[in-house]
Amino acid sequence: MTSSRTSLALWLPSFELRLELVRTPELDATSVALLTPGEMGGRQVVDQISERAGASGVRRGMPVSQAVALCPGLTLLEPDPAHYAAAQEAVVDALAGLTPVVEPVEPGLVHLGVDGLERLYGSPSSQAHRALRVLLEVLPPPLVAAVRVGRAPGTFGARVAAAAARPGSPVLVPSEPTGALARFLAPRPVEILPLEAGGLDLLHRLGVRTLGAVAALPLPALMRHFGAVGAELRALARGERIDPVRPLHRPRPIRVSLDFPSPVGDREALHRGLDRLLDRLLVHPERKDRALAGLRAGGYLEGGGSWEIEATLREPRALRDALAFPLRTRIELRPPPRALETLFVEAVAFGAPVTQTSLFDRGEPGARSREGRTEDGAAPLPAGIRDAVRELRLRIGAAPLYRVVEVDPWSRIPERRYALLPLEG
Amino acid sequence: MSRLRPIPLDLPRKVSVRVDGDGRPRAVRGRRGWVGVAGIREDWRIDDEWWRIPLSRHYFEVILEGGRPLLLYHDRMEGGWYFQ
Repeated sequence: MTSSRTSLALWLPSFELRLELVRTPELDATSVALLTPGEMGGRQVVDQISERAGASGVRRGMPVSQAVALCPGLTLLEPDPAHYAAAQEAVVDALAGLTPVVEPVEPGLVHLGVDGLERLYGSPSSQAHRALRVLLEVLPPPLVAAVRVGRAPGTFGARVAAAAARPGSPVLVPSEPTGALARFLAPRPVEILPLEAGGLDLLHRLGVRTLGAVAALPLPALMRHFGAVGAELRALARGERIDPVRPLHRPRPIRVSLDFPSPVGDREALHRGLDRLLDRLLVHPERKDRALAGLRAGGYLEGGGSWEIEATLREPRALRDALAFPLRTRIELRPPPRALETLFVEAVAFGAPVTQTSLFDRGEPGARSREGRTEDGAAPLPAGIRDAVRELRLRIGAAPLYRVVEVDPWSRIPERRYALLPLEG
Repeated sequence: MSRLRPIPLDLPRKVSVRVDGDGRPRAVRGRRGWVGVAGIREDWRIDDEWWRIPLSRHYFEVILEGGRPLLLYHDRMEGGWYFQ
């Protein structure tokens, strides 16, 4: 099964905070706020809050000073991303035993593709309870008891159903008859739409509070305010856009780590450690010549907790310095809050094998050329491409193969930015 | 060695456009007839190369009914409409 029209959404609000409360149960009776990861130059703000903290007036996005002023007994927790990622991973792995179509969306929200599972697991209600039983294998009972379950056609409908559900009482929206989804969506608040705060403000100013009101707006009016997104919002609100659940095809990450003899807080030592780990990553047999497109670096902090950063490369690379640069930049922006006992680097996204990307290689060993650019059209081509060009010329008299070259990429006139250049054998 | 001649990409193509009283696009003629413009995302002017062959274009990034985005411009020198 490659995708599923019907989704069973499992949603555990404040997933990360709940994990912390399970780890330190004595915090459960206090006011707790989990902070966002700290960025250099940016303030840490409140991310998730316990019920008691909420009752004191603490809100998400609030600066720490304001939150503490409102709730003097507030316990502030630094995020532990490695712990949360491990829990989410365990949830996804366990649910993959139920259906092959599992789509993790964010920490605490997973869509299961349930098309055709009636024969295996029975009615939609039985399927929901089965999924919760599976969660009990990897999560403590208090967490599973707080999970909200929604089932509907499409991921948006299921997400709305899960938001409308109460723990222990799944909301199941039938696929039939036509219009059932639209009727279910109509009274739901617009806050559930995938919109930035500015977009929601605009809807509020227009007096639009429910999905039914969005569905009733004329398309040109919505597009005038929101552009192409307006059409998507309307289709979602009317239950016309059904996004299927798609399984996550994640390559297995490659992880290398380094235990420091004594905790390291010095930036230079951290960079040297990073270089050593990238060297090991590049010669790792599991890399199988693939270039790396996404990296995660992190570590375990002295005194407990973890720290993590991620970097996505503009194009897949296989050179240490090219990989180290974005990671170092991220470290400058978000340095570890304390000294590290262990440093790790994971390759989480991959490009084509270097043997493939080097088709357009222009002398940079082991990696593709900068932007695939050449100084002139006569730069030597790899043998495989050269042979293909010659053969095409012999067979059809011409080789309709081109490369895209930058002419004046910053020109204000679109037709002057790029051109096609014939490949010569 | 033969000389290689680059082929420009994104060359403008002529298109019929209906405009409103302000000269802004209201509908575009496609293969299957006229398609209304649902909204204009952005518009800007380019006036360039006055020293050589003057170029003056008024660009409109529009969304057609149905949601398709399209980049149009009105050639202010010769009066025609193009898309890219």
